[in-house]
Amino acid sequence: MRKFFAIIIGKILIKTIRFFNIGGGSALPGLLIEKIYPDILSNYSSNFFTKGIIVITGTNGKTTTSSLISNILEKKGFKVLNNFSGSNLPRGIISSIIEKTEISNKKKFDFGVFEVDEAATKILIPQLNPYIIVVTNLFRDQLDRYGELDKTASIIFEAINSNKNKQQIVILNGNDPLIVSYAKKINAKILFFGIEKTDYSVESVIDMKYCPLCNKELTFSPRFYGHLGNYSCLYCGFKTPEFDFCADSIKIQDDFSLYFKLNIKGYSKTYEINPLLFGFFNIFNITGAFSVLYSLNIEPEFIKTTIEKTKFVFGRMEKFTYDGKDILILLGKNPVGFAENINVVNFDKNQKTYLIILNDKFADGTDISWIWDVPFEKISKESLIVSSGIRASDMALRLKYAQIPTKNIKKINEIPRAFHESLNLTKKGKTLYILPTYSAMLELRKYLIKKDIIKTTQLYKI
Amino acid sequence: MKITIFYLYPDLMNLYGDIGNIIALKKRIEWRNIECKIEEITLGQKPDFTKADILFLGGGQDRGQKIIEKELLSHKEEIKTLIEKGLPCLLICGGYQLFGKYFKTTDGSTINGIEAFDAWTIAGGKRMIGNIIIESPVFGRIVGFENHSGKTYLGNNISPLGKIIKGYGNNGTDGTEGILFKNVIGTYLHGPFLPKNFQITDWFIKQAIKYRYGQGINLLSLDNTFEKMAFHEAEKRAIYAKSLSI
Repeated sequence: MRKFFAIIIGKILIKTIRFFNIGGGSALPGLLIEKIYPDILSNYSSNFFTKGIIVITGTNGKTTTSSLISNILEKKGFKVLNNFSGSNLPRGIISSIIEKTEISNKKKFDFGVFEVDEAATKILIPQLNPYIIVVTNLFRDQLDRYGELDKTASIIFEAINSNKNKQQIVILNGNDPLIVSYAKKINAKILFFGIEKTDYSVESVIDMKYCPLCNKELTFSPRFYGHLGNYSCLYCGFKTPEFDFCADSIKIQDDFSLYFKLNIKGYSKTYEINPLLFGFFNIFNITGAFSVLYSLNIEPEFIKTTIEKTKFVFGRMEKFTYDGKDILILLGKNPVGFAENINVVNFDKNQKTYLIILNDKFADGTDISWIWDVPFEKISKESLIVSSGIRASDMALRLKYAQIPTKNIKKINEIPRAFHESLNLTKKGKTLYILPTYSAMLELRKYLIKKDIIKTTQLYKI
Repeated sequence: MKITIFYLYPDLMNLYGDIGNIIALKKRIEWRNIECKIEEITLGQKPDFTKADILFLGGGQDRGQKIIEKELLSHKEEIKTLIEKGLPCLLICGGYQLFGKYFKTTDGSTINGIEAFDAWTIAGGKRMIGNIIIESPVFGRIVGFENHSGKTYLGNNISPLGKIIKGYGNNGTDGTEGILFKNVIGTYLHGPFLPKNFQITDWFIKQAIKYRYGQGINLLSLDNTFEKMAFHEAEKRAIYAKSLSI
């Protein structure tokens, strides 16, 4: 009976909130239902998804990886429920389920594909009991919420061990030493994905230079993204595991486009991937998604061709044209993400215009100290930069200390005004590079949609 | 003229953009046409601390602190003697804790500090997180962002860096934040600490010159418009944003 009420109330709330346009309609109903009917998730996890639940957690790449998975499963004809429209906290997932459910509670979906906030794994994994769990990577992100990296890792892996699904498969990024150091503590089948070899590397602060097992210095050959790389400890023998799914022969073209080969352990055939998604980090996202889909017995050929048709995921390297100028939005949520975005922009050798937007809302992380860990020194000195967002002045100060002449830095807190100003500074035929934090990206997109500058509200395009 | 900064264990003790303090010092030294050398001290090195004009140690995770404990203790007497002579030191968060007497961690173990000043730290259950404002009798208003679970207590004869206007500070109860002892500043403030509190950066530069060359100088004045703008934005944010604790 309680369940019946919970669903009815939830549905009414979501509709009402949407109708009056007073929010996305995702957090509040979920929060309320959590109170009325706390067992809702465990009840649904066992009855609602016939083929199982897939949980994606980690610092970077959650949204892209889970959208790739969800999308390809749908193309394959499965019914999939995901939490793109909701948050990645319990309330968001509850809302997604309530919205799509019928009161009769008939089995409705084949798969649930949920991206889950790192700290929320503690609550969600024992309730959802997923069939597959992916841990993408662990970077310093929003540390103000989680405390320290070690603590985040132990929360996630304790949660994995509390999964009651006996068939569980855990898919881990083998290039992340912190994640791999926890692998031995898991009682489940483990698969590793990662990158075998590449010359590419992102110059950035390293979160983890020392062996997570014996605290001696790790040897990287090479290190390509933060602390992700091929590593070995000369003292205790800890090293990159053998990959079950690995990318190699990576090529990044001047227009940022990617090419790489994907190998599957025990399988002689190699898959050449020419994705539309660009940026080095998407190799991880694609390989991670591939690992999941392959484990679900989706044919590799089908995965490959569908991946190659996927365009972009919501503000993450989203490209469009307006006023005769190209505009590229590169979402950055933490130091390595931002460092990678600066590298991507530097493929363009012309004088560049930037709009950098720094917010410090909860979703961005309320501590903005991390901008000093980002190598803004790599932005060329003659660039024109508009600094915007709630903490625009902090960003402007960071740029000053990165030796950008102060006359080239404009501070405009309001995002719409900053957008138009930076657009004015961009010459016809040239590109405006927008580097926002998470809530800033949402705010900007909302404005762009309202003004009909971008047409789509879709999360991803095929 | 040259100023040498010893940046201690940057690969283990650099949390939350603490490197911004090094960037701020370096730039403001160089903008005065003074040469600045950053000496990164890593594990296993035998540094000659008499060569340092400023010592910097940032925050780290418990793991990092445990790794450097022994090494730091082996330099204890040398560093303490130099501090007595006036060596300027900036110690943030974990670095601040390690220069005190000891740090009792959450798992009950004790990390020994070098006892440069009379303060000790005990791990607390609740993390103290948020924008912070303090008022210092020496430097005026100071802004930053704190994020720590360790609670630091000061001995009777040691003065805090300032008193709390907004935030938690040393231990969340006695209204104090940080310490100011000789030319040593220990503080929980990230943000990072120096870029927005530029008067303290300049104080370090002046103290370093006095310490090395025996006499003070007047520093060339700089345009601080951007620094002040960021200071006020952070101050406003500290007043209006809720501190959260988990």
